[in-house]
This record gives sequence, C-alpha cells and structure tokens, in this order.
Amino acid sequence: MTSKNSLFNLIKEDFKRRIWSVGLSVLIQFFLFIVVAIFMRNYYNANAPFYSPGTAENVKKTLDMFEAEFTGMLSSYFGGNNNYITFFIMLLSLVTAISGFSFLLNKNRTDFYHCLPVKREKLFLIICLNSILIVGIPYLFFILSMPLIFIGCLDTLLIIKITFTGFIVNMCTMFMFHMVTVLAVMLTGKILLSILGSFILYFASYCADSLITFYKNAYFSTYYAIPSFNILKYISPSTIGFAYNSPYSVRLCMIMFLAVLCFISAFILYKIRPSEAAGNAIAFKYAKAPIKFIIAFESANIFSLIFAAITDSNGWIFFGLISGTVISCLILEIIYNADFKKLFSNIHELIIISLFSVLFLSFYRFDLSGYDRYMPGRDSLESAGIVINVKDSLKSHYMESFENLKQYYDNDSFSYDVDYKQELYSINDKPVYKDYILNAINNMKYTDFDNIYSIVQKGIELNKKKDSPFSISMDSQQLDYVPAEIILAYHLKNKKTVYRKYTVNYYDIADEYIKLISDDEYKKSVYPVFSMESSKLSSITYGEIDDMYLELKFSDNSEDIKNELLEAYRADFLELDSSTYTEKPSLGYIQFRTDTVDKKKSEKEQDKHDSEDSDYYVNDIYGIGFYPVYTSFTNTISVLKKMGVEVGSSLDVKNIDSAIIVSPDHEADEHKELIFAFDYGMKVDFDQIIDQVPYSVMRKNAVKINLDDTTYNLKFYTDKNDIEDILASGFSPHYFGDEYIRKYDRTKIAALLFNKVPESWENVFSSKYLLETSIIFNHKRYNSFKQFKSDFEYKFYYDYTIDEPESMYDDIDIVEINDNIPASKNNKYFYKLYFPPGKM
Amino acid sequence: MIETINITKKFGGITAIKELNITINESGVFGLVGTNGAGKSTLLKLISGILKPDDGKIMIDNESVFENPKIKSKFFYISDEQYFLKNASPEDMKIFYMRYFETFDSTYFNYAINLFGLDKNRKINTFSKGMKKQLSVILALSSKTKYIFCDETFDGLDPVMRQTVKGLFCEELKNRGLTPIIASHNLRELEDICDHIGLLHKGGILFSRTLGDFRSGVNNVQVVVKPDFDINLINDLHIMGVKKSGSIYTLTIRASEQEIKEKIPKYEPIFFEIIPLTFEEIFITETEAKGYDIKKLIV
Repeated sequence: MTSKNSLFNLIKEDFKRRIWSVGLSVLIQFFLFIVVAIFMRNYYNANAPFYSPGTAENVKKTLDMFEAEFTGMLSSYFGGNNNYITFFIMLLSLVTAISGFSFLLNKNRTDFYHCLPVKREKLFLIICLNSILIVGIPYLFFILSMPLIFIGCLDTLLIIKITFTGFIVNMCTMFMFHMVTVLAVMLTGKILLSILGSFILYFASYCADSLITFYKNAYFSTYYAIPSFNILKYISPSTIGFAYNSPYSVRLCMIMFLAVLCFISAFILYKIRPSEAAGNAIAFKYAKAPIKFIIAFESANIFSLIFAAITDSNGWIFFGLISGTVISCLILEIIYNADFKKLFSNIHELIIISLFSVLFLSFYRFDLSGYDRYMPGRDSLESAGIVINVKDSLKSHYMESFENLKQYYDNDSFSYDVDYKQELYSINDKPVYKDYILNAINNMKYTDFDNIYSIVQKGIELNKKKDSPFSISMDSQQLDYVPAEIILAYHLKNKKTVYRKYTVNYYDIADEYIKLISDDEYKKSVYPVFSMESSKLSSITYGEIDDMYLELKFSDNSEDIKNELLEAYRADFLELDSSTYTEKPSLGYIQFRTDTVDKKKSEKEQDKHDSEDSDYYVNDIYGIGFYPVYTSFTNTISVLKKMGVEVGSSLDVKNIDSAIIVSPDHEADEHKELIFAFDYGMKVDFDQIIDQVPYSVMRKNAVKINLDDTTYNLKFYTDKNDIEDILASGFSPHYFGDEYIRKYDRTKIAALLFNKVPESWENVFSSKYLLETSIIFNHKRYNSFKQFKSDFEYKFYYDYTIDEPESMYDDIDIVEINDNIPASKNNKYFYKLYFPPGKM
Repeated sequence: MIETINITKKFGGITAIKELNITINESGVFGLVGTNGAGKSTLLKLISGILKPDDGKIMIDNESVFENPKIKSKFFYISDEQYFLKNASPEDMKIFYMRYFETFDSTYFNYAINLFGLDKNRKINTFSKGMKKQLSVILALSSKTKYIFCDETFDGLDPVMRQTVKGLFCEELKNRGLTPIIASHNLRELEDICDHIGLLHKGGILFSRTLGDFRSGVNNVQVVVKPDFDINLINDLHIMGVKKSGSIYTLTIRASEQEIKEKIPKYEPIFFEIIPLTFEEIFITETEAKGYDIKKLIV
C-alpha cells in the first residue's frame, strides 16, 4: 500500500522535524562508544603481553589473564552497567521526549497538529517510535562497528554478546526514561515545567523511599532494615535505571514494568488531554492538588532535615517543616497561576499538606505507633530468631565473624571480592552473605521465651532513642561500654514476622547472651556447618597456630569420611558449653569449604602470586569463617586423626626455636598508655617490631629499642624450660575475643619463633582420603600434589629482598648490628602470646 | 453539512460558547461575524476537532468530528496565527500536507504560488505576516478539501490580495463546491463574498441568515410627502425606522421592493426612491430590532 499518509511517511516527516535531536544523539553516542572503544583498543595494543618471558604455557596463561581482564573492562563499560552511559541515555531520553511532544506546550502548535487528519494515538505512537529510533539507530550502528574496532583482540562473538547485551539493557532503560518524560509533558503545559516535572518523576519516589528509610533509621531505634517489596523502589526510574546490583533479567523486568506503566498512563492522558491545556502550568485541573501535595510534602521534610542537622530542638525542626510547606506551596501557586495575587487562593491545600507533614514527621519522631516499644504477647509468639553481635565478643575471634559478618563485607578492602565472600558463606552453594543474619534469624526457632523476653525487655528499656538523626550516642565513648547489637525476628503465630534491632551495653545482657549462644537451636541456625551437605564439602583447613596450618582437599571417594567429619563436628559443637568457648582457649581451628570456594581461593592465590597482591588481603579474607576445635571435641579429633592430622601437636617445645618477650618501658614512658592489640590504634604494634627489628638485635638479651617515640624492652629466651614456662603462662589472642583480653594487661607480648613445621603433620601426605595436601608455614609453602609422593617439594614463591634503608634503625641504640635481616623474614615463624598480669 | 447541536465550551470559569446551534450548508460561503471574544475562533476550533465541546455534538456530513481522521480530511483549518514547521519553506509545507491530505494537489499549489508571487524555496520565517497568510490560503486551497475554515484570514491581506483570494474561493466554489467558512469581525470584508451570515455574540448565535434574505427583507425608502401628510398614516407596510431631514423622510421598511413600489404610491408622495441598504445598515436594523445596540457589537 502506498498511501500518502502511511506510517512510514509520517515517521519520515516527524524525523525531519526533529533532525537536531538526531544530530545530538549521533554526536553523544559517537563519543560514548566509538571514541571510548578506540581508547580501549589503544590500551589493548599498548598493554597486551604478547612477548612475556617464560615458557609458552606461561605466556599463554598471562595473555589469557590479560584478556579476561580486558573482557571485564569491556563488559563493565559496554555491558549495560555503566553510570556514564546510563546518565547520557537518560539525557537523550529527556531530549527526544521533549522534542517529540513539545508541540503540546504551545497553543499554535497544538492547534496545528490537532486539526490534522490523524488520530492522537497514531501521532503518539509515531513520536515514541521515532524517539527510540533516534537513539537506537546510531547506537546499533556504533555497536556493529565494535567487532571491527576490536578485531584481533577478543573473540568476535564475545564482543557481539557483550555489546548487544548492553544495547538491549540501555535501550530498555532509554524507553523507560523516555516514557516517564512523556508522562511529565502530558501533565504539564510549559517546557520548563515539563523538564522539571521529568526530574521530579525520576526522583520523587526515590526521595520518598529514602525519606521514609531515613526517618525509620533516625527515629526508630529498633528499626532493622530487611529486603522487602517496596513499591516506591519499583516505580522509581532513577533507582531502577541505575540498579547495577540486580541481575539483568530482574533489572529488565523492573525497567519494562515501569516503562509500560508510564506508556499506558501517558497514552491515556494524551487521549483525554484538552488542546487548550497548552501553555497552562498543569494540563489537568485535578492533577494540580496531588502534584502540589507530593512536591510540597517532600520539600517540607527535606527542609526540616536542614534544621535537624543544626539542632535537636523539636521546635526548630517543626518550624523547618511548616516553613518548608508554606514556601513550596506558595511557589507552586505562583507557577500554577502566574499571578502573585492568587498566592493564597488555595489556602486549604496548604493547611492540609502542613497537617499531613506534621503528622508524618511526628509519627517517626515521637514514635506515635509505639514502634520501639513493640513486644508481642507470649500467646501470639510462636518462636524467635535472635543474633547478638558483640563488638568485642567473648567468643573466639574466628566464630564471632559469623555474627559480625557484615563488618567484613562492608570493609572497603574486601569490596571487590564480593563473589568470593558470597561463596565462602554460602549454604550448599546458595549465596546468602548479604542476608546472612536475616537468613539465620528467619530460620531460627528459638523458644526459650523467658530468655527472649528478658533480652527484649532490657533492649526496650536500655535502648535510647536518638533526639536527632545526626546525634552520636555518648555511651559508645565510655570505657565500660561494650556495644551489643541484638537483631531479632519475632515469628508470630499468624505467620507474620516482625523484626527489631536493639543496641545495648553488653554487660547488661551478659547472662542472657551466654544462655542464647549455648542453645542448640541458635547454633544450628547461625553456623553454616549445620546446613552443609557432605557431598558439597570439598576441603578443610586445620590449624593450631596462625599462619601454620594444613589445607586438606578430599579425594573423590571420601564421602564417608566427609560425612563422618561433619557429623562429628556438629555433635561436638552442640555439646560445647558457653563457658568453654568464652574462657578456655581452643586447641585449633577448622574451616569447611565447598568446591566453588576452593576454586575461587585457588584463583586468588594465583592472583597473589602473579600480581603481588598483599598478603594482608589474601590472608585476611581467608581468615574468617573458622570454627574452634576444643580438647572436648573428641569425635572431631578422632576423625581428624583418621585423616592423618595429629591434633594438639603444633605447640611442642621441641619445635620452638626461641622466644622474645616485648614490653613497653614504663620507666621511660610512664605517662603513656600503651595498649597492644589489633584494634586499639597503637603507634607501633608488635608485628612492626618483629618485622622491623633485625633478628640479630633481638637475640641480644635485655635490649631496649626505641621506635616511633616509644621505648620497648626486649628479652630473648632460648632455654627450653623458659620457653615451656612462657607457653604455659600465655594465651593466644586468636583463641579469645578481644573483650576477654581487655581484662588482662596486654602490655607484655611474647613471640615464639619456630624453625620447622610439626613432624607429626606430615602424616597427612599418606592419607587415603586426601587428594591434595598443603602445609602452609608462614609465607613459604610446602606443597605436595600427589598423596603418594614420599618426598615433598619445597616451593618458594617469595624471595625477600633485604633492602631496608639503614635509617630505619636510627632510633635503635644498640652497639652493633651483625646482620640486618628482620626476624620475620629470617625463615622464622613467630607466634604471639599474651600474658595475664603478674605473669612473666 | 456542518451542524452544531447545543454545544457548550467553557475555559475555566469563562463560558466561550453556550448552547450553540448552527447549521452550515454546503456550497456557499458562510461568514461568521462577531466582536473580539464572541467565540468565533472557539467555534472554528470546535468544528475543526481541535477542541472538544463540554456538551453537545458537532457533526460534519452526519459524523462526529472529534478524533475522526476521515472527517478531518474533509476540511482545512487556517488559524488566525498560522503555524509553520521550523525552518520550512513553502515547498516543505507542501510535502508535509501531502502526507496528511490525500487530495492535496501539487500542481494547483505550484500554480497558486506563482499567482501570488511567492518563492516556494524561501524560508517561511522570512515572510511577512501577509505573505504567511497568503501561503496559508494557498495550502488550504491546494489541499482540495470540501471545507476551509478561515479564522480572520483576510485581515492581514492587502486589498489586491484580498480580491485575489476571494476570486479563488469563488472559482473553487463554482468548480468543485468548496464551502469556505470565514470568521471575521469586519462586516465590510464579508459583504461581497458571503452567502450566509451568522452573528455570534457572547458565545451564542444572534441570527443566521442568507444575505439574500437580509437584503430582500429590508429597504430604505426616501419619501417626500405633501406638507400636511402625516407619515404615520402609512400602515400597510412594516416601517422599522423613520428619520426626517427637512421634508425628506427616510423610512426603513421590512418589505420587498415590489411591495414598496405597489403600496407607497397610494399615499401620493411627491417623490420616493428605494435605496439599497449596506450590509452594515441591515445588521444594525436587525439587531436593534432584537434589542441590541449593534454599534457596540460590530466595528
């Protein structure tokens, strides 16, 4: 059919009308895609390791790694998860939507188009389609150029996959932002208001959601945020458009849901939009009040937050709220009517919005609903899930990491290893790390109601409400205050779950805490070892001393032993009473890993080797998620022995070369408070001393050293009897939480220097259950890749170059320096002990 | 035929059109007269389907006009402030309208453009107001629609162009039955082209009548009677108004010329003469008869 007014012809005419937006789209996308792609290509050409030294296998491996990294770079930019591209897509959407529908904002132009023999629906569809083509055609063209730009870099299909994925995601995002803007145009009648309206629609629900969340966090002291369906998030274009953490499928669904919703709304509005609305501030009379309500309400609350940041006074905060309401309502009246005389023409709306704003803020600020005082009746409570995070836990440093999981994930150092952490803390390979606590409390069915209510009552009593969202609790600055965070899920009989969080002083709930952590239900819910299937268990780490441990990978026919080990550990752990693991040191520690965790760990080890990542990063990220092994764990010890692990044999005096005790020189620095600990911000810590002070210096008995304005006494022992005394008197900080250590004067620390691994540990190499076995000893690695190998290879991955400047030792007033190799790098392993007061 | 049935249109608190009933037949030039704010533009926009009436119906050829492309293709609306595409030339506008009006005649367009002496490739934003009006008329006539709605189109044209346009309208009317509807507040403009006049005032129609009906119904008669003759004795003619100047009476009589010629001699005047009324005079007479001071309504 070649009708003159065919769709194609009308599209052509519309294109001609918007030729400038086509030019803009091409220009922006040229720089966004082509120019950036060429930059990336140049980077590839300059950095690809085509000529690495080494064997062909190594070269290929290096190149593969580089290509993997380059693919990641490409994917992060072109794959649909890039801030800059999304921002410009949003901008282009705004431009195309406004340019397409701007005729509705001018009376003459509206008359011109609406008298034409074409239905509004058709006009609407033509303009929307054209907007998509204006952005999509150049984008597609530039994407098709990518295989040519990256020819010879990566596989063509891979490039196409990455760029087309990004194309689909970004075009859907474009469609969403476009329809939101069209909706804004339909509601308004002036171009500036359409643009402002677009931004309001982009961010209004995000602001509302943020406001509610902020108020909950600020004024509900017991508020605990859980992931839940939140309609405000799903209708927020800015949230959805930049939701890079969600999988593509989820993100696309959210984007298209909102896009279609806005499309239908805009379509309907256009059909009923009166032509005479062109030039009016708001196109629909009945839309004025709701729009005013939303804008004035949010503005008023934001305004009151400015006062809340300055003062805690209720008077000023509510003054801010009311004045914000009045100002925004009056401004909107001027915009609506373009007449200063009509400023107070809708005073009733101003009053209603003010009242609502006051009520809304009061609801949170004064807790009108009794949120913080909530405590369900015993007859309505079925069970509860409780996790208590104590900052300086009495439990083993290792175990506390399960409750304090979040702090590790939130640590910036670990931020780029989300996947690994996800897998490490997965339960049967289902990643749960983000909701780890939530998972634990949701699954827990704790029924000691007396304990629950005792905890909750104290939580409610002791929990202080913040006067201002910006105030800092003074309690946390007191010395006898140890913060304990109680996270609670009430599982009610009506199948609902209510969550609360209390922050109290640990000492006020110490008894309840001990009772809780001794409970079987608690242990089964909090510790992943209880949910792990033996078929998923791939390897374990067992150690008794930091940095000297076994890594044992199970062979294929080890189902029985794996099952036995898990069952044994579970039984032993359930039997463990709280006094044991809060007051007694454990014998050793064990970590259970799945196959995916092992693969990731291996990759990370390789990365460490190849890219010289810091030991801190690698070791610390692997250093969490361990369970204790106590002397009472007879079942576990028995299974480990079966596997060839001699439990309790590491700290044998015959393996210890020497011991050094370091203590501050109080005579010299009596006014200084010295604390040797991990977290207490000491100027020079023990590791620095061991790392920096030459071994030869330390060997001198009764030495004083001065490092960083602090004077230390060093005493050196080689006599086995002395070493035995030291072993008996001290305790490892890693076996106890820092809270326990607080009770002791930690101003003396001993280092035990080993020169070899326990011989008994070498039995593991002959274990029939193990595929691969490694003994990790300090920074050296002794590997055996075949269990039947009688001799093991010594592979040294690190060569320390002793290159420290002499000035490092300037403050050391020692007579002579014979060798300047620090102890830690002198093939000596050191093991730290702390001493109670009066000992040593 | 264009028919409005009890249409009402309000803008906020202002009633622009109130319960308006009007019928516009085909093949004639309809003049829509009224002062500023009478509702002429509003009525034309309603008929063009730009505005939707709050009440009532608007039918063109027995079909509702709003959101009806089939009916909309039957008319061309020339607004008082005609809009043209940005940076377009007359040629661009021609191509544009060709997309929307299947009946658009490109040959006629070229003919008319030459006739008016416009450059079809020159940017319209460099045209004067009058030239833009000319172009609007050209595009309207070239679209070969059944109806053309002109909102104060003639007001910007010079006398020569006015006559040219009137000539083109008449030609199209004769050749294919074009029905122009011309809105204006200038009676003198419409006098020599309209067949039918509708007077709009404050959103309502005062009257709607053919020009022939207007003219044939009312005449001015200048009479000189005998000194002792009482003019009030003339009682068999509907005298609408009497003016005296010396011994000359000017009578405005609602009767045909024939009737006047038959009846006046009976009163043995010394002299009498029938003088045709201008459009304006007829209007004033008719509206005064309805109780309006027309001088206040019409320029």
